[in-house]
Amino acid sequence: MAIIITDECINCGACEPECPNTAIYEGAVEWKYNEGTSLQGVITSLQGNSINADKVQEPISDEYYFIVPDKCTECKGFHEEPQCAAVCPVDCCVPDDENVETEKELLIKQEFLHN
Amino acid sequence: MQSFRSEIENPLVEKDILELERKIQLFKEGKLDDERFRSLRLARGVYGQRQLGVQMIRIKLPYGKVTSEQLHRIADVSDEYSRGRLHITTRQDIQIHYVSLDRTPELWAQLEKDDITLREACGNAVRNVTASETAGINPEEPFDVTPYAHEVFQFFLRNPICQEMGRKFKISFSATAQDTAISFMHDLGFIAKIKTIENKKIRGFKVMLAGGLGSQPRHADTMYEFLEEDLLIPTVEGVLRVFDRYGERSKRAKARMKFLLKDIGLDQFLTLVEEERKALAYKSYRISLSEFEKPIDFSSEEVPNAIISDKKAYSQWKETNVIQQKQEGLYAIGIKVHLGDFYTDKARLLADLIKKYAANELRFTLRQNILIRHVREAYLPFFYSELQKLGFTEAGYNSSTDITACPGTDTCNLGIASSTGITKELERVFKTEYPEYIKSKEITIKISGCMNACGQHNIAHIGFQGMSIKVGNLLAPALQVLIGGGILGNGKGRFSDKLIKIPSKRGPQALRVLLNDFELEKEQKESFLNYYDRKGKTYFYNLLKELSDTSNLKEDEFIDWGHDKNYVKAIGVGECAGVVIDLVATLLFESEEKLENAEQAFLKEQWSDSIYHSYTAIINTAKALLTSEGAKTNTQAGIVKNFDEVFIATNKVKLPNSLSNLVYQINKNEPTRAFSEAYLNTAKTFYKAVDIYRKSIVEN
Repeated sequence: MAIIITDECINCGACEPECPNTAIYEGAVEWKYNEGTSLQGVITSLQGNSINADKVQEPISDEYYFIVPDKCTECKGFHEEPQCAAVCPVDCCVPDDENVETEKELLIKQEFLHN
Repeated sequence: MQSFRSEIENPLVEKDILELERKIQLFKEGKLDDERFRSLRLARGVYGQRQLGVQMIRIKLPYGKVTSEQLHRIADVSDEYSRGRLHITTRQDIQIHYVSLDRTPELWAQLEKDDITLREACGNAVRNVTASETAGINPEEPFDVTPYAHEVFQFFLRNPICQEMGRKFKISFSATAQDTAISFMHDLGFIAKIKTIENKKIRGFKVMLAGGLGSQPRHADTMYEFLEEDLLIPTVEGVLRVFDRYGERSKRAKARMKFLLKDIGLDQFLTLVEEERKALAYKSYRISLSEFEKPIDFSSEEVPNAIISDKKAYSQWKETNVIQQKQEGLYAIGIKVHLGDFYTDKARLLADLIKKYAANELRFTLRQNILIRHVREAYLPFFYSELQKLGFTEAGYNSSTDITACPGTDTCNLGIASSTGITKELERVFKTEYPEYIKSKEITIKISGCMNACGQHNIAHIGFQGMSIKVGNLLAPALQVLIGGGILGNGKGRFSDKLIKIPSKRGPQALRVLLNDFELEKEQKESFLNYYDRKGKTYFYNLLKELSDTSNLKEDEFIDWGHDKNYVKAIGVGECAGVVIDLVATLLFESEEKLENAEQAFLKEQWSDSIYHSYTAIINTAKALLTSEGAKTNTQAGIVKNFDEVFIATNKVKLPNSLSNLVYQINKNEPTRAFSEAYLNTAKTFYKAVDIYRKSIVEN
């Protein structure tokens, strides 16, 4: 599962620097696939979509910090547990029920992001 | 309420206080926007607190210094307007709580009678200038940093260049390379240095730039290995001008100077500072030392009798709490103040004591303690017995058992879990189970109630930070345990690793586990940090992992320290910086105010001040128009750039030149009368051009 930040977020920013994939952004901030990954130019995503890794993407939340699901590996390949959840002072980085992935899928994603 | 009007001698101060009174009135009548009012009151030391309808007042005490008269005054004010408690902060201020908003102008006027200010104690301003509490008495120091800290405080107070910055700005002065003022975590940190140039000994500073704590700590860059004393004020001014212009303003979480440095890097930043040189009020600024070099004056020569009944306790106190000064025969006495809280009855007795028997000065310290200076050796037993009556002789000043903590959920709006409650418990563990640490300075422990780190938990050897933890549908108070931070000296420091989150009630056990392991596993004379590095982060994670298990939480673990009911999470929004409202009309009205300020300063022949007011008027006017078009206004430099793109390149607004060319005349000219006048006219012309455009849009 990817991790999701709930609306209990107090916008403290503690999670942001912990993410090994640069998947976490402050609310209302534009993001890119290429930030903190080795993705570049036009690529085919794991779901088979064509994306431009260098292109600016719309924020997922305007109010709270958010996690880009395509960039979240739940820290698989880096750490024992999701680092954002470990440092969140209000325990609001939780598994996303709508984005359930197996460990194997997450590891493939990790490799895709950092090949 | 009327009484204070005639009593204040300084017209600037009087104007400030009357303005606060007027704005409170307007706010109450609903004529002043909430956010606007907030940013005004914050810059006057008036802060919100966890409890509704009352204010916390932060009293700004440069380098924590007070005289007997000032301490009496603060005590009187606390009794009259607050609740008789004085809280020493980690930045050497005093905070009092539960003050009614209506009475704050009167309170401020009282304080000013003894030359104490509230101005720029909170808000997006240059905050209190801190310094090592031993400055001026430290045998190791190259020179006393006090006059320099004082001048920086004075020079930038009410200075137009730093009245509406993107975020707060913190400055510290360390007496020695030991760096007790923690320069590496300040926006600007100075460490006293002497350099021999052409056989002359020159005073100066090592300068650390853009450090900070909070949820994303950053280690400061070394700006200069050595900066001559005469360049201190010009350098601070240059840095503030750059921060004001390029610092982020829209995204509050990214607005501190550390983020600007992270974005543009040190070289680019230094280039920008250099570009401001021409605009500076002074290219070189000699700081007068005479006020600070007067001989130490004692009012009494008679040594009162004192009988020490417990010789052992006295000698322990002398060992841990008395510091030999660089002045022969003089000593400083440290008072360990639990949680930084003390009360007015004792404050008054202490004030009398230092006036009569010391040299009428004490300093509040960064570790929330009190340091009395200039006590003659023969008076030590007397001071001991007098301080003992006040309960001020607990041994272990600045020792491992002397734990730093912010107020946390007691009074702070931002607190997540109790910091003071756990501090009490940990101090109890030390006293009853590890008394040997009273004499030891091996480990520092610091605690904050949230990630903002007012308790500086992320630079402690062992730190704790308030959190909450979900257990099914229930919520328990928690602590993050951090290890491995510390001050390394000479501008270097380390931030701690975030190890693990445990229920708050297990904090004492975590401390025991860590202390026991240290005792057992440390190699001979190994420091705590070396032991930590040798063992590694994972070792400590595993050591504490057992305590993080929430599957076995007991009922009382849902109750925070110092409480008797189940933990409830209640976190407010920070108000260090009011969110700026962007109503176009309000912004334009403010531009008029700024033009008026520029005019006034010009008439007073304050060229540099007038120029800066004109500058902010131009920026503000440009911002107003950009806001009406929904364009971005994150930084002042960005406003100038966007304005040229949106309005000048498109010929919507007609100017003789690009806005960039007009506004940046500021750093291409010396602050002379002629330029001051010309720049003011530029600002007025620009305002008119914008006003015409705006009217044409509104009418159509």
